[in-house]
Amino acid sequence: MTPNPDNLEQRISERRDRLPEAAGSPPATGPSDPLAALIAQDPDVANLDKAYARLGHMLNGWRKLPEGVDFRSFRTGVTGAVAADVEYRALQAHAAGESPDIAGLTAEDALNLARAYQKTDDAIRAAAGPMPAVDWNALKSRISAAVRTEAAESDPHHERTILLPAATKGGTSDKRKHRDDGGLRFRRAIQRFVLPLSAAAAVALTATLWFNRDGSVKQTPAPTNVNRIVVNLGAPTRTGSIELAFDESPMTAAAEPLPTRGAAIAVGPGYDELTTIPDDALWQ
Amino acid sequence: MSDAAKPGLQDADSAAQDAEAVSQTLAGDLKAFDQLIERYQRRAVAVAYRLLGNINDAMDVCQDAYVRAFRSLASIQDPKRFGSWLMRIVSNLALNFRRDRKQTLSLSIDDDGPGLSAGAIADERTFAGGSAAGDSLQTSELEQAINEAIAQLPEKQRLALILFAIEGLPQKEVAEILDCSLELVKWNVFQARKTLKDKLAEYLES
Repeated sequence: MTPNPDNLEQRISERRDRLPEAAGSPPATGPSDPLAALIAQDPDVANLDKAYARLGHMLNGWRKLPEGVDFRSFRTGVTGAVAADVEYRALQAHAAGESPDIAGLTAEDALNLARAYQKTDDAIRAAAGPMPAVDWNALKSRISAAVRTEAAESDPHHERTILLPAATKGGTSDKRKHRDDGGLRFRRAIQRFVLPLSAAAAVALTATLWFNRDGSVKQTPAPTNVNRIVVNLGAPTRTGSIELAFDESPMTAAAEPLPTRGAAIAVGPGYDELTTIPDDALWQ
Repeated sequence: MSDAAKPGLQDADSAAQDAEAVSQTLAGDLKAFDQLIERYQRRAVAVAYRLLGNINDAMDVCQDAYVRAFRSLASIQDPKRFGSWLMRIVSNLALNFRRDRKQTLSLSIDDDGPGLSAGAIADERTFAGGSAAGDSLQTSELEQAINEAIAQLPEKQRLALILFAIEGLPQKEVAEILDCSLELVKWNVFQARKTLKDKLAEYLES
């Protein structure tokens, strides 16, 4: 009869387990042990037996407890944790108006425990002293103002004053340089786009006011013989002032004299702040 | 002897002592519970250490297991089998601890992204090998191979192997701890051994 290989292997692997002393000990051998006889006869079975014997030996030495584990501290820690658990649950039961029913504690024990903790709380409060006087109205105003500021700043329509960084003086850190670079780019953008647009708007306003000096809006079509004002502004290549001059030849549709100068808008490097140009500054 | 006898947790004497200690503890004698701590602490820590590979984690898990056992002491069905009952709590907590640790590790690998997982993989190897900080960092190649092979076993096989083949608990008690039949314990132990024999073949030949 050929033995079932899997069953045979299991029997070989369990061979040393039968001994009550410990796994890995030498197995019983002798004529009464049919496995021992098979091992003696068959080299493959003998190798299998050896492999399981070595495995058992290796596993016995695997992850043995390190030397010097402090079991006394461990026991103290567990005892403390258990005692704390008892107190915690007793206090909870007391707070709920129930009998603790924990580790033989009575309701009176729980009450005494609660009183002891109350005394501790009282002692801590007494040690902390009374709270200093607080101007609650001032605190309320301060918090309210801070909240409003925060709310206003988070509003995308909120008007803000944009501060442009001043010109760099001396050496700068990388962070500062980065910030300055950002400011410089922003200022260049202002110079390139916003200020020319402002200048164009000023020109348009000047022209409009000039043609409507009486403040009325004339709906009639412009006379064909009125001189056209064409303003063509490119992006300035450098900072400076833009001067606008108008054709001073008399108009047939209006008898009033033309202003010699329309508007002057200063654009210079000293802008640290983007400000609204007052209306009367357009007229010089 | 402070711990339960080596071959088994519960011979007749210790079973009776356990039942008495449980009864006294339930009556409010916390010193009786100290006896239970002392009796099983070494076994509990050893099993937890085999499962976790870190002595500090093992002791934390065991402390937690004792506190839970104390809380649930009134629910124990057979106080004579306190040892097996405690070991089941220890085993479950250790396996949960291990799963949580692995999950945390997995999450940190995901956070790092695929390109940065080498360090995390090394951590996992250390974890599987059980040589976390505080333990010996000089793990031999063989020990590392055993660690990895055992870490890859299914949980029941690993637990059955550790409790029976390594810690030497009787199969009956292992069956109680694992809450399965004796035959299943034998089968799990054999499967575990067979897997290890194949994976560790190069170390077993010479």
